[in-house]
Amino acid sequence: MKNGGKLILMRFDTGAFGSKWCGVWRPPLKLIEYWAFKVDDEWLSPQNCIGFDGKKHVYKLKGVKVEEEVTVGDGVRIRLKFRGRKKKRIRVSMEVGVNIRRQEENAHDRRYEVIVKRDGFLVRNELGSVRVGGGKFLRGGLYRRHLPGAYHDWDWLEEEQSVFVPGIIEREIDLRKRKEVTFYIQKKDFEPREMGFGYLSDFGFCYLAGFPWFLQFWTRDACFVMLNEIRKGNLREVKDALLTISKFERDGEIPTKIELDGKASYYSVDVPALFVIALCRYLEASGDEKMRKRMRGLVDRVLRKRTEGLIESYGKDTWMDSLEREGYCLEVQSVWAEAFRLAGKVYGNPEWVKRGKELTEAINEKFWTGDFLLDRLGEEDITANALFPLFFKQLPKRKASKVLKRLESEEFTTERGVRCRSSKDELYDPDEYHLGRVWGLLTGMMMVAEENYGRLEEARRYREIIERNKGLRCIDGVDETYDGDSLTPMGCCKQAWSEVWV
Amino acid sequence: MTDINLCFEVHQPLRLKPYYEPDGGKDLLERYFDMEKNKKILRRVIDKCYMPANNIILKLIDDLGKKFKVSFSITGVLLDQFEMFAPEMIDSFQQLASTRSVEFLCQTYYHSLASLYGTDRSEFVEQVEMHREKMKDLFGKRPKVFENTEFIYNNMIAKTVEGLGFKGIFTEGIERVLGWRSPNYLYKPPEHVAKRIKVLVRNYRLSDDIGYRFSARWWDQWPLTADKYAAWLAATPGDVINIFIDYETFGEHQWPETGIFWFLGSLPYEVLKWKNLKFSTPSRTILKYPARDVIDVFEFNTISWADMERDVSAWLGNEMQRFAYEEIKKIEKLVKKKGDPKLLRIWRYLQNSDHLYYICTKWWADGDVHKYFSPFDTPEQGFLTILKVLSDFKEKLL
Repeated sequence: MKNGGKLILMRFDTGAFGSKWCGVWRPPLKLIEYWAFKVDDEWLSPQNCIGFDGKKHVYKLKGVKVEEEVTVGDGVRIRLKFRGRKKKRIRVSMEVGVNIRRQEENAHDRRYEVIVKRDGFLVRNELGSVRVGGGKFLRGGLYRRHLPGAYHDWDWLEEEQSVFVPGIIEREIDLRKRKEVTFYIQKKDFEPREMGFGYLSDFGFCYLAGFPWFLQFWTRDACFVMLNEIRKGNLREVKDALLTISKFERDGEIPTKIELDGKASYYSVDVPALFVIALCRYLEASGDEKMRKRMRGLVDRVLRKRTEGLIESYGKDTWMDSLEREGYCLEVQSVWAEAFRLAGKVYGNPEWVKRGKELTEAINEKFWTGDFLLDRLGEEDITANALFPLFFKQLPKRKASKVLKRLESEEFTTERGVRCRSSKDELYDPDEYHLGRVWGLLTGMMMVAEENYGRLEEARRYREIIERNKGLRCIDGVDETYDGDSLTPMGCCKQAWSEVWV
Repeated sequence: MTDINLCFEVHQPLRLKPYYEPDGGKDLLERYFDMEKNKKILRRVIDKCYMPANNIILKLIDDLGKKFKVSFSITGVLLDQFEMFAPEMIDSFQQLASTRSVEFLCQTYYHSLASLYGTDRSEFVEQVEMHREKMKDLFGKRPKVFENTEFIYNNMIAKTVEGLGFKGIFTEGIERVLGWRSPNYLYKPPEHVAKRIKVLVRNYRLSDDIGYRFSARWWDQWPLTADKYAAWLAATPGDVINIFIDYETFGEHQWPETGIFWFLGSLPYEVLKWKNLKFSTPSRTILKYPARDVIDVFEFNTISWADMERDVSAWLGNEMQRFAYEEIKKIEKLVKKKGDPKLLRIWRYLQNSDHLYYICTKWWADGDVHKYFSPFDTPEQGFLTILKVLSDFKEKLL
């Protein structure tokens, strides 16, 4: 997975483009389904790929070894280097499967227009265009259906794609004179950027939630990323993300999701509070007075909507958005308590501080069962949402130890991290998103919660789990979730809020 | 992804003696009810159905783990009989409960029509609470989803059930209420009736394919195989498919020779071959999916799952039934005033809806069904018997 900040490349380490998620993306569009190189009569393929070191694929062909190095910036540059003395001249052909479609689509019937360029071609449909080059363009023009691959264990299903092959780009190389050749996709700045989850949309910088499919700005996810980036000192980046999100504030509501074409949707009960927390943590860390003043009105609009009583949820508006959690949810009270406390501190508003205390007291009284915390008032569910008040240090040490011990037990903690629901809960279902899977987010939060209460040995244990989880399905990536029993990785293979903790 | 809720109604009535015997002894249970016959029938059903089906389900859960789930709605009347005659069945259901892949639903303890007793629903509430406590005592959990006797449902029942703290209630997915809408979604009562309870509707076509048509050779889909049935489920759009059938389908209504146990044993494997299907339980479904629309069922349009009419005519369709029903209701004050728990229990056994069901005089296909279940030779005989019993019982109360 390479994120150049504008273009994103996803590909298997074998060199294959073996899933519908592989290819070159300019979210919200996919541009390229795959590329393939042929050297004389041999294709570079997973069958002759003999290694990948994280930067280059190495292929062994008859009489020549080929190194393929890809860099992703505003454009994608593919450099092929040739080693071996048996061949004097070779012909390199590049086939590109163009598939300009929206992210949510699969097969489509759009037609393409091809414009021949000096060293390649530009191809376009009504959604967008892509330029490919690096040699002499031999025009073809083939529309076909393509089945890239399915991975049922991960719930990645086979979905048919539409591919257009405009022709072939070809280069003749005299190996006595030169040993390498370059092709490109989008003739732009090829300087590689190490963007992580950062992304430069047309309306500003923020963090993508996860690869391959959460190619949007999910504000809840971005807030957890920001809390960690602040800890790491990446304040400039965090400020940019906060400013981008703040552009979408409407009457005190912060969007749950911002598509990269600028459409925002608002349906969360906790996201405005998380935004205030991230903002205030940034202000505390940076001392950025200008930003503090600039955001004063926004913070006021967000907080004044929730000044009385416990905060109610109406269905799928919590982080467990696959569940209908109506009523008074623990973690919702927890994030709002922290938002009021921090904002009160940063803006010197005693009313907000008082309101934060009120909510914290409610957590300690109304939700406390004697040895754990209720997930929702009046419900019996036993979930890892008990972590939130520990993450924000809202429980006294005596209560916190009881909760932490239970969360550390096999009921919640597995080799891959923390389950979202107790394995002893009546509704526990290990492969259901929010009824039993292990979540990278919760594992990270658990690490911080342990640190908050001085349990450093235990915190280390969770850090080690996160580190162990790295690279299971994606190089350096930490998965979004794992099956609660089999621990098979599920969901996105590189998820921001699973990964940012270490 | 579509949830499959595989739910079983488990019930055996406590049958009256076919001919009332004035000298039937002092113990009213023995005097009115044919305990020997009840014991004999229960033994037969346990051997033919309950035990083998429970064993198959246990094995499936053993093999498939959390991927396979089922739900049971067991009447209090049957649980009482298990306790009296076959405690090993309680152990067997407890073993199923311990897997936590099984959800137990709540209903009226005595499988009664108490939900229809006018505006005062105190008897209904008492019977529901009794059943809920029984479930907690036997299986460790208080049920969150309610299935009224024979799926009887209207707005006021939904309101009462919501007031008792239930999250969901089952009813029949019939066209006269759903109209063009699919049974494969959750619904809710109108806002002025209830705020939060969700209504799970039975997909009666797919349920009856197993419950009624499984061994019907006249059916153009006979023989029904597990792979064929799973393919139908996979091709059915929606959030949830509620398959709700009598547990006695396995081995009793559909004999073992029809292949029904083989079907039960294979179905989960065939369903799980489809990536868009997942076994679930009503509580999970309620937590996962929103109510997609409102169903508005006035009391004069009450729904049930019985007969072609799918209303309450299976129990209150003729004068004899209505007369007996009113007589049973009338006794309530007397019994409760008396304050004798033994008498109260007898009265509640007499409320069992089956006694009225046997007095049904419908013809055609449904008449056959009534006759199949009835211990009486004719509806009139059933009517006379219950009247005599009620008359005798009233004397005991005075």
